[in-house]
Amino acid sequence: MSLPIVKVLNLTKKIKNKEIVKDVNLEINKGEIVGFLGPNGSGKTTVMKMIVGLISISSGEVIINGHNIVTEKEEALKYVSGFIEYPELYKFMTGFDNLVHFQRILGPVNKEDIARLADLVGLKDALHQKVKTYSLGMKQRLGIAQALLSSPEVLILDEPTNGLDPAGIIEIREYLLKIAKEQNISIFISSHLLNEMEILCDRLIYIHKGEIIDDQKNIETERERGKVTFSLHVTPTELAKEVLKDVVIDINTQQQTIIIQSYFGDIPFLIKKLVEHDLMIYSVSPQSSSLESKYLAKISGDY
Amino acid sequence: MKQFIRLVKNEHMKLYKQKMMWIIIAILISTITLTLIVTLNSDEEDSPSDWRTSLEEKNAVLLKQMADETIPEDYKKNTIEKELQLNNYRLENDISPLYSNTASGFVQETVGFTGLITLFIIIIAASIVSQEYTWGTIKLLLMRPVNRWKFIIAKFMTVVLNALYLYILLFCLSLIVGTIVFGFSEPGLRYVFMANGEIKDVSIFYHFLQYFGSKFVGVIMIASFAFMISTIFKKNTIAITISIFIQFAGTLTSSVLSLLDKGFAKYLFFANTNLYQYVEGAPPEGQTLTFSIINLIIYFIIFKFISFYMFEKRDVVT
Repeated sequence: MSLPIVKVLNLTKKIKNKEIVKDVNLEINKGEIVGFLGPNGSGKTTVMKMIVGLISISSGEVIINGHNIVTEKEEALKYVSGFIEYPELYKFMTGFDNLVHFQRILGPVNKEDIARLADLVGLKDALHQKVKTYSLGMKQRLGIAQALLSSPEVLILDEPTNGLDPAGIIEIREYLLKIAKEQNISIFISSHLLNEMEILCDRLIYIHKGEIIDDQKNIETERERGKVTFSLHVTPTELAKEVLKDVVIDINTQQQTIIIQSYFGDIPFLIKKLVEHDLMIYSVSPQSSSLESKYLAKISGDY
Repeated sequence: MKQFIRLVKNEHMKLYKQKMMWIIIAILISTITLTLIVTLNSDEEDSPSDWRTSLEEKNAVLLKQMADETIPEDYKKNTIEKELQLNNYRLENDISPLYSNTASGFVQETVGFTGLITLFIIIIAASIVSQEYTWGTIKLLLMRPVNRWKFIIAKFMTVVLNALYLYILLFCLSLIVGTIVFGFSEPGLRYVFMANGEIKDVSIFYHFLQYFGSKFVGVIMIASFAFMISTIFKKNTIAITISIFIQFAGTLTSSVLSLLDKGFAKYLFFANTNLYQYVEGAPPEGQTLTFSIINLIIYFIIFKFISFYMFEKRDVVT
């Protein structure tokens, strides 16, 4: 097992004798998408700001790829990128100019790189428009492209889907999955929305009142082994039933919808099978989640 | 070094992608144009060709005033006598006065606009750091693998360079316009002035160099001050207000303080920013060029230290 990309040790942040973050320990490994989950004001942003050196550390350490963020800041920041709270860019400049600006901080301007990244986040056509004309989703994607300029090992994204409409959320999620896969980078992403994190992340870390209350190291295997219930809206229904019959644990039909029980890890193959048979898939949605009830139970004590 | 040049380039890009910088340039150009229109329309009786006759006539008037008992002695001694001396010097040495309808005379008309440039530079210096905070872009900037002090040096360097550009624009544009409109044919390319009761006579370009050079030092000092205030408060409004007040009321304040016999007045930085007072005219008592330069260097170091410390240590909260 290789060394973790980000190692956070006993991290504490005190502001006027009040502990905003208490003794936080966490690790992010190579290629992992880690969700950082907690209600608003739980200290997610503060932890992330300390990881990227935007605020001072009261005690504890942040090590990025073997480099301490305090003592070897320039070196440590080479491996980490992302945005905190909201990717605030220069609105009076075009998307292209913004990327040129942030690339020039790192090294000489390479227009091919910029074009490639703009393409990756789907901003090719809007690249030469001023950022003030962008939608929120476009700004978020430009923020992600900006973060990728330095070819980081890990992306730190604080609430990247905040304020987006459902379509925008799905869009960002898809881009993130694509990026993680194509560039083989780790993503540390915070949110207060569980179901969103559940779909995206390999692992979830829960924070509450500045303390880590749970770190599900094996959520992936847990999920893959676990049985899940999904509803499918597929036509023609009969053919779909026929196709899936032998590969799922249980199958039922309710009018147009098929309810299947399957292993979480099998879902992509089931969908692939449906596509291969030229079936029309209108929706695939999880029925319930064991994680959700867990999450609510964890924080409910304080609400 | 390459990285530093790239950072300065970035600051220039941000500055010139905003309308403000272009408005500043437009104002400067229109001020020069207005001066030209005024100069063209003012029916100056004197013309460079017969300057000798007109100077002699002026001297006659001045001599009459010297004889006039109703005019106070102080005024005679400080103003009329000096003017007579200068006029006589010109006549003896065959040096024409500067007329505003000549190329170098036109430049001399516009050098006063360095005050306008000071105003613009205060605005730029007060905004270049604080705007990153108001825009929120400071977070993305400081997350990059570059030490914070490098950004702050690049930003200050950009302020200094832009002050220089505006000075060059003012000087070159005035000279070019002056040459095109009035021609470059005047006989006397020399500047005659009084310094500590002595008549001095230098090349007109040496005079411009001294004038712009000493004013430039003043601009950089007030810019450092505005830069520091805006780094502390993260808002450009406070920095602009305080700096403009100091720039335009500072001289008054320091002379009032020294009149009240407050010994500390001469140690205030704005009592020392006008280095040109050591070239032409009479410097205030107790202050010398060396005193002012040392004073300014110490203030400059203090301003820079505070800006760096604040920027380097502060948590980014937005």
